[in-house]
Amino acid sequence: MNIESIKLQNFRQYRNVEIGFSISDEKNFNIIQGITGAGKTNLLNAITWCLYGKEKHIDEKSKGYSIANNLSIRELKENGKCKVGIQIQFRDEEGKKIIIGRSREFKKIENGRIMEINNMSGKSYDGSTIIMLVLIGKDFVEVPDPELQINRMIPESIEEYFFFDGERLNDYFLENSGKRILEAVFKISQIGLISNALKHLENKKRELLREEKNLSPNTINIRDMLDEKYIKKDEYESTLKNFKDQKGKAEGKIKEFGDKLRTVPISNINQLQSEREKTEEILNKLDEELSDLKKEKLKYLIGIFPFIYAFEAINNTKQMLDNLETAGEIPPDIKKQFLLKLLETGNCICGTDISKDNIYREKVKELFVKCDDITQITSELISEHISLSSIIKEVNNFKKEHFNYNIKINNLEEKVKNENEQLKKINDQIKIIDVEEIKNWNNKLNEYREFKEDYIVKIALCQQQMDTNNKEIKGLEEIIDKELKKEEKFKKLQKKLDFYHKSLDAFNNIKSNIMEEVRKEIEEKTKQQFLELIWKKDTYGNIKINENYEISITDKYGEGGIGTLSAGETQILALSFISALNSVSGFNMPIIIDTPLGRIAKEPGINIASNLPKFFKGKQVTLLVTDTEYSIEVREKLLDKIGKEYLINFKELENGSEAEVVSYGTKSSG
Amino acid sequence: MEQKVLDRLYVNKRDDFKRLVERDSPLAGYDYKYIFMLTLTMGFVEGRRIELEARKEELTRIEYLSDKEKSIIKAIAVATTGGLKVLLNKKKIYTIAEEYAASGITLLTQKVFSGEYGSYIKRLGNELEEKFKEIKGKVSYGSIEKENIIS
Repeated sequence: MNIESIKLQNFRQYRNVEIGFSISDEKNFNIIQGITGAGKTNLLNAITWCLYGKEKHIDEKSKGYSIANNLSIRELKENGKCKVGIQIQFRDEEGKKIIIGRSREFKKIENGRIMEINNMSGKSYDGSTIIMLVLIGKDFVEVPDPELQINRMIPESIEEYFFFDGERLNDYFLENSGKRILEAVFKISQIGLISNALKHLENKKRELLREEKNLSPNTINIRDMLDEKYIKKDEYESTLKNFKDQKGKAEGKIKEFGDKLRTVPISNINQLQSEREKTEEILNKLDEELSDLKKEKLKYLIGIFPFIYAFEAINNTKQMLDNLETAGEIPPDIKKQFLLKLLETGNCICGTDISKDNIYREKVKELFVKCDDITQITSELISEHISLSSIIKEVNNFKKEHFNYNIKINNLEEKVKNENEQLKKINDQIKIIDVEEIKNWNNKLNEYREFKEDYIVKIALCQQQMDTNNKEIKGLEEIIDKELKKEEKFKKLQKKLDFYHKSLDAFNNIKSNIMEEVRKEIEEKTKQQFLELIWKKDTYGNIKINENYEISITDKYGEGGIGTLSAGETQILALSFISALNSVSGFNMPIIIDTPLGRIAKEPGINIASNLPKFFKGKQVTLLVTDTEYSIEVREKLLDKIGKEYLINFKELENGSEAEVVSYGTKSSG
Repeated sequence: MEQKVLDRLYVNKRDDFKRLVERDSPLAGYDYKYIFMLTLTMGFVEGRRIELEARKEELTRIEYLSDKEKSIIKAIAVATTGGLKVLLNKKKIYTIAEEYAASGITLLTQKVFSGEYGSYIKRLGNELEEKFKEIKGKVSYGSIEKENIIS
């Protein structure tokens, strides 16, 4: 059975979309690619809604929202109607075309609210209309009771083994695995009817004795005791089921916390902690360096500040000194102080007497008057001249120096920023796995281990009480049997009871034989698939599904466990199991996997992709993939098998959303 | 022409200067001579001098000033008096400097304590850049060697 096409009308983000699928045996893979939130899972929901009237893969985000496209609804006028419809066209093994369609109408009422119109003439319990058509000759003929027919064709109870979320496959499969596998075996074996028959026979057997009015007081007494035991039996069965459920939940939690503790090893914390310390050390050094550099810059600025602020004064003074120098006044030929000394002593350096007023003394006096006072500090002026020139030179370099400081500071600040970001990342990682949390996980793990142990004891006790009760039932039934045999009038009743006993035994045998057979078959096929497809072939030796339906994997030395598998290996095991269920079920249904490689690392992802065609040989497979998981390498591995490739273009518009499914890449060969 | 030994710098209120070098100031820990040079040059640029009161307070010693700082003080005195003769009068030189500093202290205090604490270096840098641009435009006779300026 293959899907030929799906038409979606106003279903969530799909307003009017038709997708054709490849049904070729050689190109049995269809790829529908879309980013997270584009609407891949809603395609899966569209299929289950069409078949069963339920969106079986709905996520929390979409829950509670109408299935009708919000854009179409907003465009409606008051009292306007909008039809939501999904139509799937199948082709069975004989080439027969089957169309299944489901639709539902919505009406816009006051205040823009939406009302679902319950179509009382519809074929489905929920008010939607369902139709199933089969092509006979040239005409499509309507099939009566479509829901029953669909359930025969694709049973709702096992759809999850054909349409599934690859990302959650591991969790689904591994959590509470015994119970899950038992459920799967039970569903796949289709022995629900046998179980119902068993219950029915048991009730009928009890009623027979209760309705018999001519029993002796002693037999009545025993029958009443038996009735009490039957009630107890029901209670024990219910309690046992509850205890097993609780044990299963505890096992799930043990796995959850065990996984958390396993995937976050202490060494990782140690490594992160040492990275944190190293980064903090670098940061401290950088901070210190930065602080020193800023101090240095401030010192420089404070030092140069007076130079720049007083620059005009400095420059003018220097100009004055330059002028004096140019005029030859500094250094002066003669110092005023020197002339004064000559006049006071009355002796010139050449030996001429200038003590009395004479022409020579007059000459020296004339020179003294002409000589400026400033010449007294001439050496100081010369040193000032040098100092001011040096200041001017420093001012000249200000822009360059300031720029250099800024560059150095910016570089350091950038480094500090990067190291801080790195520290934040490490801290965030440590926060996620902080020691307190690990302690908490460990406590929880121990708590659930205690719960499990507690329930194991409770189950054992309950089982023991139930066994005792059953033995007592058997004993009482034998006593009644003997009592009944004493009188001829109960021969008929006795025969009937005998029939029930034998039938119950037979049905119980059939049930356990079928389940045992299915268990073994699933075990064998899972093992076969896994060992064929796992890349570490030498590592694993055996896979077992025991009597309690618990799956175990051992290495060639007989050791191991599912917990030792990597994410990629677990996915291989889960896919092997699903593929085994598929094969054992006998239903040749198409496979649709949402995000098949979502949690798988690149390399194992490529390995799984190259093995997917082998897993589902001869089956039509549709993969709903994100752009990241559908890498070039993954595509290359599948390319020979791909019949059709689509891309979901999701548009978030002002008034709602819409998605288109556009064909690309591989040409259709279906 | 002998002059009285000059070895101190005075201000009107020492506390005004002290505040600038205390813990909460961006200039915390700086010697008073730096603060004096800042206030002096700021007062000079403002063109405002305040006469020192009789009960003036000692701020620092002149000997702590570097040669370049002393040169600036002298240049300011020259610019203020308009001639080199003032250089013969050390008392006048330092009085002029003290009077400018007495005026500049208000301006500096305002600048230092306005805005965010951490931004002072940046503000100071920007202020000097602006001032540098200004003097580059004013000085026309090549004292600022343009080839040395990164713009």
